[in-house]
Amino acid sequence: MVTLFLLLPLAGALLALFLPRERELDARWIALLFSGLAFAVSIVIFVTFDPDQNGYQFVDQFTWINPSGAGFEVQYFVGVDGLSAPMVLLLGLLSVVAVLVSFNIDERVKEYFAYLLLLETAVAGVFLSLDLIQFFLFWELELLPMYMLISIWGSGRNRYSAMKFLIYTLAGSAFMLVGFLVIGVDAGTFEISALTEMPPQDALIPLSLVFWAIMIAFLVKLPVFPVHTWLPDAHTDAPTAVSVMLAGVLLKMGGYGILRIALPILPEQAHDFRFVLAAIAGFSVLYGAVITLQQRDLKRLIAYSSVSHMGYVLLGIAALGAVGLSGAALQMFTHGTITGLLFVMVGLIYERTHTRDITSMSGLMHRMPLIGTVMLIAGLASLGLPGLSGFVAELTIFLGAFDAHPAATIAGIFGVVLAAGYILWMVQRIFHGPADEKWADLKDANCWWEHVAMGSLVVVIVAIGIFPGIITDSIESGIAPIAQIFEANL
Amino acid sequence: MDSVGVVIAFYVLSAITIVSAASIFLLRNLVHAIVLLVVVFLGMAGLFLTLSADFIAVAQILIYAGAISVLFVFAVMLTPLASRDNGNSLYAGPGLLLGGAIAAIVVVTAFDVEWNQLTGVALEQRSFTDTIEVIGNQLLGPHVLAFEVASVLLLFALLGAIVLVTDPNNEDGTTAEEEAGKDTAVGGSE
Amino acid sequence: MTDLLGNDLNLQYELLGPEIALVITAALVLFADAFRRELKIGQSAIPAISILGLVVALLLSLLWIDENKDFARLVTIDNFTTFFRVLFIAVTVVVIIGSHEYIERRVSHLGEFYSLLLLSTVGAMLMAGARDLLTAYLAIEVMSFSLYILVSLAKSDTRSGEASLKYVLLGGVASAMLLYGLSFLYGVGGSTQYTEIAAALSDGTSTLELPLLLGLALIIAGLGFKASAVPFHMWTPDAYEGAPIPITAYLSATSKAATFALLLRWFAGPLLPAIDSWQWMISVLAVLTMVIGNLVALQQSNIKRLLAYSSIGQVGFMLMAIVTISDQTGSALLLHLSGYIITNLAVFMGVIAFYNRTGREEIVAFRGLAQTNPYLALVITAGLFSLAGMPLLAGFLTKFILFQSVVSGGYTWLVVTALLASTVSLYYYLQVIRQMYMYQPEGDASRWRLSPTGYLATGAMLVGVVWVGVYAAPFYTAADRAIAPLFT
Repeated sequence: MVTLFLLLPLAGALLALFLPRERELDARWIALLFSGLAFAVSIVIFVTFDPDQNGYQFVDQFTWINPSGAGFEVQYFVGVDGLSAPMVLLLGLLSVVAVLVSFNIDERVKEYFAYLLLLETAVAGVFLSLDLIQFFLFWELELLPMYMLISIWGSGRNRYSAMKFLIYTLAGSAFMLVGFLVIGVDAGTFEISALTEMPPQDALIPLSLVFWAIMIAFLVKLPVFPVHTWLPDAHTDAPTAVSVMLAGVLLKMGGYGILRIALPILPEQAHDFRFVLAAIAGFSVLYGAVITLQQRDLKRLIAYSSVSHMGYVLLGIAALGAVGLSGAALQMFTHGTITGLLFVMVGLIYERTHTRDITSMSGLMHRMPLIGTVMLIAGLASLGLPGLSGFVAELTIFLGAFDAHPAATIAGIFGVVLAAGYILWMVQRIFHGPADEKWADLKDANCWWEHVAMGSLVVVIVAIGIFPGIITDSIESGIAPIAQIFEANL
Repeated sequence: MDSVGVVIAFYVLSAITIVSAASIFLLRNLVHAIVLLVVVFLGMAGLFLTLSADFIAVAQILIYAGAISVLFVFAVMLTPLASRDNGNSLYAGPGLLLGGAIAAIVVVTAFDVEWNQLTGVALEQRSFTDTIEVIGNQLLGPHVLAFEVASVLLLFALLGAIVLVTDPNNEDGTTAEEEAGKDTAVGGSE
Repeated sequence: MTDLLGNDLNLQYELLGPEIALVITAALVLFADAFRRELKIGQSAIPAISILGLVVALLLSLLWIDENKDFARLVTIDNFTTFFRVLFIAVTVVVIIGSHEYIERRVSHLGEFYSLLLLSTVGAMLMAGARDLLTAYLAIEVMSFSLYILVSLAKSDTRSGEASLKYVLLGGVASAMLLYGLSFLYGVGGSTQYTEIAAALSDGTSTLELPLLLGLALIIAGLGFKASAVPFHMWTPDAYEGAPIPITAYLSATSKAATFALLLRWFAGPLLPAIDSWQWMISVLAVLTMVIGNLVALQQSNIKRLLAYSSIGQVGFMLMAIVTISDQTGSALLLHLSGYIITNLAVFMGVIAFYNRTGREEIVAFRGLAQTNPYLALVITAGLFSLAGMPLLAGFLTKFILFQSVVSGGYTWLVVTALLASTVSLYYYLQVIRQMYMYQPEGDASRWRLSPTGYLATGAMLVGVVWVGVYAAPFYTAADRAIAPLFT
């Protein structure tokens, strides 16, 4: 089942690649079909997932690399638990959205959709892997399609941004691999669950170094200050669909990695450094928000707001309690949908106005009421309006983190105030005000794929705002074992 | 070092070798330098003799003092007069420094170690008096493989020398008709 | 027959079957080329004869799987030797298949070219099998001499002669250093036989530390040259650039692997007792090689020079395995070597096919290759990504196992350096990939195809790169079995 979710997009990518040239545009339909099938599989996984059951479900496992003399083995080991099930769902949803918003791509279409589907497979691999090396493998695999997508189909300084993205991630993952190797050599296994049960006590190098070696990769991906600088560039120059994927699921790989690997395997070190993490988180939230306020480029604005919002995730994690961790996991999901939607909207606006400069836009609500309304919903969700999904997640994080890190939490709450500022100001500048003559012939969202892309995300955002239980049941069952480690031992 | 004669011979030969070697650096005339090089080779052959390595001593005289120095003389004679100067080199300073350092290491090593306490298995088998016969037997007996490999190596080195000195244009010339017929694209344009 | 010490000698010539077969083939090739008109055979008969001889040699080497015999106490025929024999023969076969068109058009002296190629393969095979310092030295010279000449054989390319001269001169110096070092080793160990040196060194050499150290330094310098480890790498970029591309490929594959075979034999055998004296030297060498090789590669604009520096960087990774030598790292090194060779040949076969078509070797010449020949672009990309260590390709898996073994050998800091260097390397590999995928082709943008043998060679290597990356079990089983005789 889970393997099917991994292989479907890959199969689609291969199929798209081998289309004859004259039927290039059919690649869109292949991509839609396969990402749709994968989404259906992810829904089935999520719905049939049983939160009351311990451990992983839908497990597929076999030994992959097993050099006889070396005393270790690497497995192909996939499965879902309460933590990864929502992530898989999010990935399935956003991939379909990404394919939909790419329907107007007309340059090297086959390759584009092949890379997009390959990206889905890679990210799915990250969320599903239960073996450290396999995890690393997919983590690296994700870089290739991202790099290609940004640098071939991007705009602006796309090659520079793609390279920056690549270098930041690679530098981080180099350290991560060292960390994995040290842990794995010490324990003789790379299986995450085995390592969780017996956290390494001693290794070739101090475990706190190992902890940071692994964390650096995740923090770069998350991203938090000061390793966030790749994100605005990558977002600004990426095509819309890639921005959606980047904000929606790729950033989540960082938070997911911390929850899945760093915390359970090295709990003591996480506990030792929780104040450092909280400080980074609090600063990131504020720094991201302040920088966001100064942005004139629509995409950069949302990119920096991501830095701020992902700071909340780290804040929830730093609390190291059931509530905070659940909040962090929930925030990942909701931020994925909200920011994904925001980038979809920015893409639609850019397509029509051919500018992302906020100051040059005005009164667009008159020309495109639907886009304006959806953008407003997304913005309100982003700033944490009660009744929409962002509120639930942020509230949970603050509740969980306040006891442990009051200062950082207050910084976080202040970040929400700033978020209200930059979101509302942005909406006001773009959509309200006098209708500018030069935008007179803009059309509202009018294609079916645009409607589907926007509609599906709005539904999810509203639904989770009203019935958070859909997601939180699953998340809580996934977080419980991690929280237990900290409550039991520390 | 058993007898006085050997000791005296050692010091005399060493002195000759080192002084000649050092003078090679200082001489401006390349032909003189080559003559001194021959002296160095001969001195080393003498040193080998004091070590009862008669085969190597003879080989040293035949190959180095004989063949190789003649080659040098040819090379110098065939080069134009202007470049026959054993001139200054840009890297003289660093070169001297490096050479000095290496020499120092070797000298320290040579003096620091009690060489005669070595107890290799092979060293204990010193029952032979002259080395030529033993080397001959070894080369064509147990070490025949090395002998064969070396002969193949020399054959191909010869081949390589021929290939390297063949003028490619001339070689093309002999088969010009053939070449021109089948591959005009590659011909002389590149 | 017995030797001087009264040991019985085993003079079973069939043990040397593959070497003998190749030397005979080399002679046949020369003969066939010289009398081509009289024999009424075409140019393509020569590579055909060579391949036939190589296949015979391959079959003869397979006869000795799981044997452990020696020829006159000079050459060991064990799984280690067999592994490398097969590897070297395979490399030569691939090089010949992938580049015979190139060779016919751009190399002078066809017959000599093939026979020297076969001879250097013989040298490499003997390097892997030798169990005596002098035999090993002779083997090195056989391989190097052939390569000195091969490097100079590029037709009407002035860089070729220069490259060859540089290679010969520096190679001569390196050989001299190696020989001088070996003489110190002989002085300390009292024998040229590996086993006896090992015995003598483990008996305790406390009073002989200085000559041993000097000897080791000279040996490492000499071999460092052959393996092109920094700071003994200066010849590499020039030789790689000037040589005919098939020889560049061959240099980066066989010449390197043979040196590592020798390093493994020496440092896991006779020199293992002196590990404290050389471990730090090799680790310094490894770090310098990784860092400098990969950094200098960033500035290259010629694909051959880029690959030269990248191969230098790769040598740094492999040296790490020598630092922490054990059966585990040894086996990982063998695996990495095979993976590296397959990958590198994939790239080189691609570059040769490209050069056959365009005659250009600057990196910018690769512009738009993804559109004019997507298949070739894919081969080169897969190769370069594999060199960089991207997942699901050979480079990732072999590097991973290598790094893992080095970490368990206790040298985590080396692995950290290696990973950072590896990250840098991806940057310059991407420079080539960018040219292929992100720019429009210059000039002629029509699609073109490779020759059938071009497809065969590149296709086989592409399959190899993916196969090793995904399912390497046969390879590491082979590597395990090959390394076992060294550590018993």
